[in-house]
Amino acid sequence: MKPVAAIAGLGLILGLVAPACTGRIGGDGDDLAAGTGLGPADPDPASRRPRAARRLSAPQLQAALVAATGFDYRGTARVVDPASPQGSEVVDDAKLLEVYGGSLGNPDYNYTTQHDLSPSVTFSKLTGDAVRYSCGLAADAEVLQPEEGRPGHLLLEADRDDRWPEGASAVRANIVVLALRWWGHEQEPDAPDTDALVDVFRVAQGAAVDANDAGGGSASDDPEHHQVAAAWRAVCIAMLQDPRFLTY
Amino acid sequence: MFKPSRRHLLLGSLAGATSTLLNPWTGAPGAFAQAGSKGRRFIFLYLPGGWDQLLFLDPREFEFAAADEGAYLTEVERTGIDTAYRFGGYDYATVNDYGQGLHRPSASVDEGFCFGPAAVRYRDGSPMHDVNLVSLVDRGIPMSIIRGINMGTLGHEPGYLYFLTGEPAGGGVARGTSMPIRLASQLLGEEASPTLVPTVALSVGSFTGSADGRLAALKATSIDDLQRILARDEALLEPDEVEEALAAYAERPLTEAAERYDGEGLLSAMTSASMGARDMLANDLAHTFTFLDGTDDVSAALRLRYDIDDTSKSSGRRSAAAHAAFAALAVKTGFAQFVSAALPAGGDTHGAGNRVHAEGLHGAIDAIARLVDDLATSPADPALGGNWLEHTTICVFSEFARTPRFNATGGRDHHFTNSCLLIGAGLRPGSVVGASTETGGMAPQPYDFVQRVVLPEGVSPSSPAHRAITPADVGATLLASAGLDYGEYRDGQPLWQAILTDG
Repeated sequence: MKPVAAIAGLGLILGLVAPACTGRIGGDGDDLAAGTGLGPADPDPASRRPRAARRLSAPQLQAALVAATGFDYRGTARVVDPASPQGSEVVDDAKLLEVYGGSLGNPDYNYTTQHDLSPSVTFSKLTGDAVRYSCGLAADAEVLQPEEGRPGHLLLEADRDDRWPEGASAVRANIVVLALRWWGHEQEPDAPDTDALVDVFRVAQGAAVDANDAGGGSASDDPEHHQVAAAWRAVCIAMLQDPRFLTY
Repeated sequence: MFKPSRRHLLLGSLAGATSTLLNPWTGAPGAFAQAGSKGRRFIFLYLPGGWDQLLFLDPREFEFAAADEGAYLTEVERTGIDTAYRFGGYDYATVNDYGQGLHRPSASVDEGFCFGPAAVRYRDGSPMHDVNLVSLVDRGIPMSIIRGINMGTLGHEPGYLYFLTGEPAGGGVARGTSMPIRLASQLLGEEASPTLVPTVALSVGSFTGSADGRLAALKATSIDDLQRILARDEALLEPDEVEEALAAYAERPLTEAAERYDGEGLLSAMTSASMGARDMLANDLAHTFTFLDGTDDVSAALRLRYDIDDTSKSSGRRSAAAHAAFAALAVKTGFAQFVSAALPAGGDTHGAGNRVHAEGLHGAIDAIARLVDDLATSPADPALGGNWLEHTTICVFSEFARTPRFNATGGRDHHFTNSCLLIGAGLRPGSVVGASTETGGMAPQPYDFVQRVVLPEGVSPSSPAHRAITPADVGATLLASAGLDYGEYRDGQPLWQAILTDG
């Protein structure tokens, strides 16, 4: 490349990059457009069109679920196995989000190469199964395991002894931190989204109490902790089925 | 004395259990004209891989007029088409299994209405199966062949997406809405579907586009997957009051915080899908599609009727026969109004002659014939009357066709001139619309959308109404066949000669 052209090219790159290197990436009152010279800034952030969200693909969902709860969704399924004379085998410990990846939108790389990321009844149903399975294991691990065995995915601001209504503030604080961790969303302890999840917590704890009173509780030796586990399991299911967890 | 065989007993049990009549279909073609469009069902059958149209929907007969192989080869040079039905270097005795000529119905049909060799398989000089596409036409079942469809692509994914939506794809990304969803959107409007789910897609893509999220297809890549989707393990269920609380949480309106994040309505669509999943689970559908493994007589009879092979193998569980049986069940049981299914047909083969394509295609064609026969001999819902086929329109398609001449390895490559087959309600019996050229290697022949004729070969298009048929025209035709607004296909016009309604 000739020196003049190289200098001109470097200048162009610096010219484009320098205004963006302000350490700021937008936010209330930020005048990013004015700084870049790309056009007039929008004075009212509220009038900006929200960006388009994108649904998680099946592999992303699988990874996100493990990161959130510590557990994969596993179960018995017929798995394609080219080495098998039948072409498939029934496996007891199959990773089900891989088994059903095609139905969740994975391409076959034969006739399709793009992930189908449209929302669908299928995605909703299989996601619901996966979330229920993983949240069940996570809640049991957090609440019913001895302290040294607790993985710390679910109870971050609350303790396993925090029940409704005595531990209300801890329950709300834990929901707030889970919303930040799982949705990237800052919300107040008394926000409508927090209230809605507190309702789920209360109903699930109450149902576990009723079941225990009726003799149907799963662990009569430690009923209170089983109730707390049931409550956090339900909150976990609600939050991980929320579109804010399933999109980015 | 007549002694019923196991086959008779099994078929009889199927008749009893599913109210299927096994006597030959005797309905007059006129019954199809009266089919109300509101209750119309649609089945889309996709044969993946690109099909050989010389073997199925767009065959040639010059080979049979040729006195010898020399005369045939002269015709090959003149037309640019090497059928190799019986001459040529790449016919591996196909003629012995698929007959001495093209398959023409005896019924009154348009000139040129015929099927290629793969449509009917022979054994000892007679058709192997009494039920085949030709015998179905002779029984008065309406079919329309659309030829000369210009796919404008030789890529699997763009061609597949183009036919699914009727709009050219952007590379591997679909544009617009799938045909079944377009039909559902107009047929149902604001009303609820008369079936348990509006749309289902087995091993076929479905794109909701800007249509109502409640019409989004229930998608599965196999019948096994579908069974898992239709039911929830009891171990994963919460007590009733917790289930209700979870549903109330999932279905509440988006809060302001979430709304700001919902730029193009994806979150709202996911909420609709969540409600759809809940409704579906409430219907307890787990036993609807257990016919692959069912030990009951109904399942056994269904496997027999569709000649479903060894279901212990993946190939049997995902065969064209199994998927065709699924499509019929989905309609007959009131499961779905708009059904899409892939029928494996041998796939994308470039290196073998006619035989490989013919055998793959014939398996799918045989499954289609069984499906049509099943619907035509099964009484419809009493509210509709008649049989199911009188209320069902079937569209059979693939992403493109195969070249009219062989490649260096004796196979056929991708070719953009396609055809499709429409069967059932709303169609003009025995109709043929469009054509590929007789010479010049099967190019799409321009069609005059005003005069409704194919332009003679060699006549140049002289008006915007003179153009090749495209998948958008097929989509518009299906909408028009049900009396719906086809204007949403900006580039599509109905092929009125294929349907009973007139524009």
